[in-house]
Amino acid sequence: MAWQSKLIGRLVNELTKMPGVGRKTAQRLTYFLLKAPEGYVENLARLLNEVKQHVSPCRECGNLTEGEQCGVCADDTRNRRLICVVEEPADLTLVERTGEFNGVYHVLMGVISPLEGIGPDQLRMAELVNRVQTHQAVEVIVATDPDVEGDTTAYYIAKLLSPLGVKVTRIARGLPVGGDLDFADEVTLAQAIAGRQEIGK
Amino acid sequence: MFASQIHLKNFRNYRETTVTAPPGLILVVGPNGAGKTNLLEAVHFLALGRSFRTNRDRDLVRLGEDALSVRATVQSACGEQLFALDYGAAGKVAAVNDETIPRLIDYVGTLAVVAFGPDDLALAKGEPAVRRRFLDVWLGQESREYLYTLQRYYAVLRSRNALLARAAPRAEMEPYDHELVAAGATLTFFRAGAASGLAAAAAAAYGELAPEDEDFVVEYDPAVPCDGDEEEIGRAFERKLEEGRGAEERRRQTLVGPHRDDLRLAVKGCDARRFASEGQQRTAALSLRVAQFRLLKKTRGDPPLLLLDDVASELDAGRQRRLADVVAGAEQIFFTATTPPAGIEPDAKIRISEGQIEASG
Repeated sequence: MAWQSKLIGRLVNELTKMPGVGRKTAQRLTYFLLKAPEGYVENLARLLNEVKQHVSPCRECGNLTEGEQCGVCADDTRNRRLICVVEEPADLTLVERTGEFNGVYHVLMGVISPLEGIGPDQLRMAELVNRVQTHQAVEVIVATDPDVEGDTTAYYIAKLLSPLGVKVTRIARGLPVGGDLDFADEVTLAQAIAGRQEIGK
Repeated sequence: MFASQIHLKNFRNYRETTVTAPPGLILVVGPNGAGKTNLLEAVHFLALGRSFRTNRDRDLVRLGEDALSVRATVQSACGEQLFALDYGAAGKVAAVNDETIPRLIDYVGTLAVVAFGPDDLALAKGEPAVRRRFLDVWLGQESREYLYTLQRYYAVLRSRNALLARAAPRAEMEPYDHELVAAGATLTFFRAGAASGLAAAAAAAYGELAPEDEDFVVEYDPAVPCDGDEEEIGRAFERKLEEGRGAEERRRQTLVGPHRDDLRLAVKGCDARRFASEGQQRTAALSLRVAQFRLLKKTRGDPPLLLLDDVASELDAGRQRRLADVVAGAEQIFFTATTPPAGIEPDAKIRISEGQIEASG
């Protein structure tokens, strides 16, 4: 394509390697960057470099952080005997935003997925066993997604930890708050009924 | 319910066309290759998100195009509803009354449909997979929980087979055994419960279609014993997995479970697949479809749309007439034929040539 700048072609090509970015989006981003005001691209490039250089997994939980330890693990008021297992750092952010959880996290960096060739060895399972032992954890809450991969990973963790005598729980599934029963799919509704709770106790 | 208007865009040989249709029996006529079956296939695709002819959605898109769209205005007891299903680069996207349904599985079967086709002979003659598909297409429209469980079962099965293929250690297999048993027991329990209703309805339909005094027996033939409740089935499934572990490790695939289920069909006490005449097999297959239609009509409280693709040509005049009586409970029937069948008076005619609707009404 002689009419197109080779450099633009290369940038578009690099951008399409990013998750969720197709050719059209990559082109839009490219033209945005070309038209961006003075300094924007330089700052962005510097930021990307800094992020890549300074951000790394927390040595305790695997959350992404600029230091050796993430903010949660560095916080002395957190209950280290309560561990919430999540798939990705982004999931940790979600649970943390609820303000309901005072334990610590463990980021698996994925889920078991035989079809994608991801087994327990590629995830941070050994580290989890280690932490449960060293901190004498009383409960591990598994907050992986409620799909086949998330559920089988949760089951694997429960079996893995059962010799250690720690309680392993799974987050409940049910109806969204403020939602209408009308909008719930039948299976979610059925599970919400199965997991019903007594009122006024 | 009935579809008062159907709109196709880039579906098979149709560029863009709109069909209006009254309730009743609609005869779709035209030369071979004009697109009669394609019109019925589009309605099936709109209702169930899949063709009755192929598993490759890509084949449904008109040559040289990259996206298709099927829409229909449907009149039912709930009033008028607009169903739409698009397929393209973003996969299949469904909408009801212009509101997009985020997950296809929450949409599939909202519109109920039963299709009779020339390939139905395989129901009586073919491999077990054909009868399993029959069960799934039927029960998936009876219950959305069935559909979810089916999807989950096959997702677990694919993963479990991937683990067996690379001889994964026991600890890695265990979660998949657990999930396979859970979903498999639900499916088996569901199929077992539905089978008696199917047997009665299919036997009745056979009696109406065949004047000869022949009995037709349909029996569920599950891979896992289906006596007792879901938990008992689950335990039986676990035992089967345990017994077959050695064989599974040698063959490197899951050898037991509802993906190996079948229906046993018998005419006059003999296995229909091996000993029935082709006429008997055809009547048996037709009876299963009629049963599917009547059972869906009963559970859903509204007759499904009926699609009869080139069915009449395979039947003698007597069976054609009786089939027309049998399906009289439908509110709308699309019926393709190269020549108008004897003894059937249509309420409307749609004439098609080369992907064009020439006349309807």
